[in-house]
Amino acid sequence: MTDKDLKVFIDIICHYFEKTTRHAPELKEPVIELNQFRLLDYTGFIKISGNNQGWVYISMPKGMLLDVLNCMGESLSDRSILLDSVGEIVSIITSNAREHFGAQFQISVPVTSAGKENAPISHEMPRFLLPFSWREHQAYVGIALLA
Amino acid sequence: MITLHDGLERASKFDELASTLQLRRYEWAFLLALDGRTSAREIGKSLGLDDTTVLTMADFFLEQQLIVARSYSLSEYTRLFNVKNGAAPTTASTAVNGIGSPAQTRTGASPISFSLKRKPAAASTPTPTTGPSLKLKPIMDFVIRQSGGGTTGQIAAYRVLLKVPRPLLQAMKIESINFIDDNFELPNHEAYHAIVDGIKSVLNVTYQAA
Amino acid sequence: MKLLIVDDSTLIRRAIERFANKFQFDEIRSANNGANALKEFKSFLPEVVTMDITMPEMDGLTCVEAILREKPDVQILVISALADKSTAVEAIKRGASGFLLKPFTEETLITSLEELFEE
Repeated sequence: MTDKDLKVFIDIICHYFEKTTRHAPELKEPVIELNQFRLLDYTGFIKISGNNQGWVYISMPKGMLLDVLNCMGESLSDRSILLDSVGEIVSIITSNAREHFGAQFQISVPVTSAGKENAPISHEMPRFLLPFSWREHQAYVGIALLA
Repeated sequence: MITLHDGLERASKFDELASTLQLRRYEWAFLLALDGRTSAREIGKSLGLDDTTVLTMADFFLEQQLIVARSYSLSEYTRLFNVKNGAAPTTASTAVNGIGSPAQTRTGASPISFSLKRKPAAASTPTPTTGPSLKLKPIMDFVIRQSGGGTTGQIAAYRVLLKVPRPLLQAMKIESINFIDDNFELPNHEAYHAIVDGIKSVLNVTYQAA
Repeated sequence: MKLLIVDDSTLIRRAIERFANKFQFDEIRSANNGANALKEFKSFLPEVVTMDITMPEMDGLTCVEAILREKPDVQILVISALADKSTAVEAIKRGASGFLLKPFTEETLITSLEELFEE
């Protein structure tokens, strides 16, 4: 992972929230996380294969997801739509990154989790976290790429 | 840490917990295919799984103490894999596929000489009885400084940590390198040397304690 | 005129349905993967389809080809987040009439559908 790769993700995160909610997020200082996962209420994971291998995920509090859905005009707010939405958000962010990484940046369908259960990544793998705030909420994108 | 070349077998805890486990279909298939001899990669391949999935899954099972990596005595190794002392295994598709393949074995080298290379990052530097300071912060500050600071430095630090064997990272028992105390010390010299090796590999500079 | 929405995400299917209401389709149906979409298509026979690419069961590009074999004059708008140019080119090569990049807004979806009708 390089500076340029990271900037791509930062730009895409900003673009996603600006475009779908008309509110720009504010990126914070990155954090390298080891061992214990700090997952928020809802997390969407995308497995990467091909030239790069690993995972990209976004973890968000429930209140933030509900606000995002509200901005998009979505009236549903049950657990099922929240899981679906967090999966779709990480899928869009990661898929958009193919413009930079190329077609060999292969993307799986999303895996989602509520709370700290069922995270598909081993917590032994170091993660590069990009914390950000959106409106009054705090969330983050985690990148765990081997290449 | 498990490698793709390890022969894995189910741990005793597996039998205790099997009836309570909720796993995906391919995870059960992987667990039930373990025979202690066939490599993790080969089993994964036979199930149509890629290397990342196999490693992630195997690491998770290891962490849950459901599996163990099989280790061998010299006599077991030579018998099980049909290896004569001083020769490469007769078939490259045995459980040590990749480790013992002829292309990776120096002429005349003992088979043991390559089987001992399973954890190069941890074993490449001898562990001194007394050594440099084990404080982590100066080492990570060095990495960040060397790579220009800021986010670039953070990325370099991340890439260095990717080079450190995962059990050593776990042994540090920290959640993030960004919030470590100035006095936080690495648990052992093995971890220190793994990080120093990682710095050399990522930044091509040798870390020297101030 | 009938519309079939194909996407594995409920959020996206519902968003497209809301945004497409402007066009007063006679009927809108949806499917959550390529295989279900093909089944639905055969009985529903819509004039317009919006199609995601990355889906379980059958991916969108394979589904585009299968649908066009059933009804060559159907208008298919591929809506995907895969931002590399080769994906859009591949979609058009397989017979899609248009390509819209996710994330989309109501305005960009309406523009893309209008362009489809102009054709």
